[in-house]
Amino acid sequence: MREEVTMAKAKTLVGYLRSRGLDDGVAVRVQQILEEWRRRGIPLWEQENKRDDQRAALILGQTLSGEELVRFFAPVCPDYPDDSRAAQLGLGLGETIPPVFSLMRSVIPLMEEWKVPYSFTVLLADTEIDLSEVVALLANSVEDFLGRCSKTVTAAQEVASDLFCKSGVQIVPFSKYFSGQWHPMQYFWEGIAREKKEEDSAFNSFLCELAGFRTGKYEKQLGRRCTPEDCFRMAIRHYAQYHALGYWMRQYQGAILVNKDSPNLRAIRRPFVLGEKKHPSLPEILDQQSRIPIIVL
Amino acid sequence: MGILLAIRHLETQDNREQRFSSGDRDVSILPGQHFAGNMMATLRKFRKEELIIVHTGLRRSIETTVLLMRLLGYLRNPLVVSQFRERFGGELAGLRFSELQQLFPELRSPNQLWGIEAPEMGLESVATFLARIEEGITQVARLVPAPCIAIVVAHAGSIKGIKAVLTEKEVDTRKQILCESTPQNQEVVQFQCGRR
Repeated sequence: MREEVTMAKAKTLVGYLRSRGLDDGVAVRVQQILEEWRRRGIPLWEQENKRDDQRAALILGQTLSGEELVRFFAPVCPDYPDDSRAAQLGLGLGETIPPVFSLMRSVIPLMEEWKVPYSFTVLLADTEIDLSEVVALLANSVEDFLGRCSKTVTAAQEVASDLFCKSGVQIVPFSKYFSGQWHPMQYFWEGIAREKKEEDSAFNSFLCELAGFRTGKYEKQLGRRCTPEDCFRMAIRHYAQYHALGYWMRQYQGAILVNKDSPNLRAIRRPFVLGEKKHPSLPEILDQQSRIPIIVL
Repeated sequence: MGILLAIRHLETQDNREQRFSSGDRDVSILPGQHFAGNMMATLRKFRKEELIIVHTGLRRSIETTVLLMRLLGYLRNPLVVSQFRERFGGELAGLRFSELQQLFPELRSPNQLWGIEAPEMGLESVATFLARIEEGITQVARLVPAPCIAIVVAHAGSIKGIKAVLTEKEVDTRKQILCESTPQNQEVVQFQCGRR
């Protein structure tokens, strides 16, 4: 029975790719890659998400047709201590990098075996560098905080030298990758999120719930008691970070996000659409709602 | 950090309406504003590699910061120092000057609100405000490396607070500085740190 369902799904997917103008040879090859993908337990398709399936298949198909590059983006955290009051920022890999390496060791050989052009960018989220409270707790200065993040990058490059020696595979901090553009983008989306919460009661409830649920986490991060307003600001901040990354990724047709599960993935799944309001630091996007497949770690 | 430049954010609707735009009130700047040429000329005297822009985490400060970053071609990360927010107003936040006068008939100008303590209404005490500003200065001095210049995009009261803390030791004299005239939007005030 299960096999029949899989077969039917495969036929539908091939049909979908044909309908999007890909030739039969490419469609069948994509199908084979996806089957191999599933066999290797890469978690994008485990959730039976039809739209992610289709989008990822289309990305693979366009890549095999020479139109695109599959671009994996994996944001990871610096080596944060469990509690900012207890220790400074570590120099090791932290908790979020090792699972990404495991996934890379499944995905990259698959891409290479099937000759799918790809890039894999691990982005170290030194995004909290603008929070003086966090920097003061975790490092001796702004430069020291950045230096510690650099050491995590170096440690990662050493531990996974087999991955980072490949062309198109890199680990780089946000501050370097976006060269000063990250925070203007984040602040822009913070403003949009604040406006949306006034208009959209469901979004407001989502943020309130998230802020309440994560109070303990924020208190550990900021090293102090947080007021509801502090928590709300942090919730908006983190949501805006996901949104900024998603919007930025949409400039590439072949973007796939690799991320641990988070309520903030809603910002990727259900992006806000900008009308006239546009910020100079944002890239030009053809389709602000194009689906980004997510590999959930 | 040797030099601290404090800049008041660009104009908001609150400013236009003479409202008490306190630290607990988060409003945007009015659209379509530009920085004055003399202000940019002051900032361009410094090497942009040496600048670190600081904002307070409030919209008006963030939005002014982002504009400034773009104009200066600033590529470093900004820094949020929330201690530099305006005095917290509690129930008084957002009230027009005329409404404040009804509550406090002795007020002759907005600056004189610094002479008023109303903890029962949630108005932050001047002592607490000054302690917070001092904490912010310490934070900046610690995090901003010695050759760098901090540009703090702050609020009218917090700029006067910075001046009070950096130039005076006595609480009463500091309070007098707070009652002085208010810096205009986008006015730049330069301070030499480590000297009193």
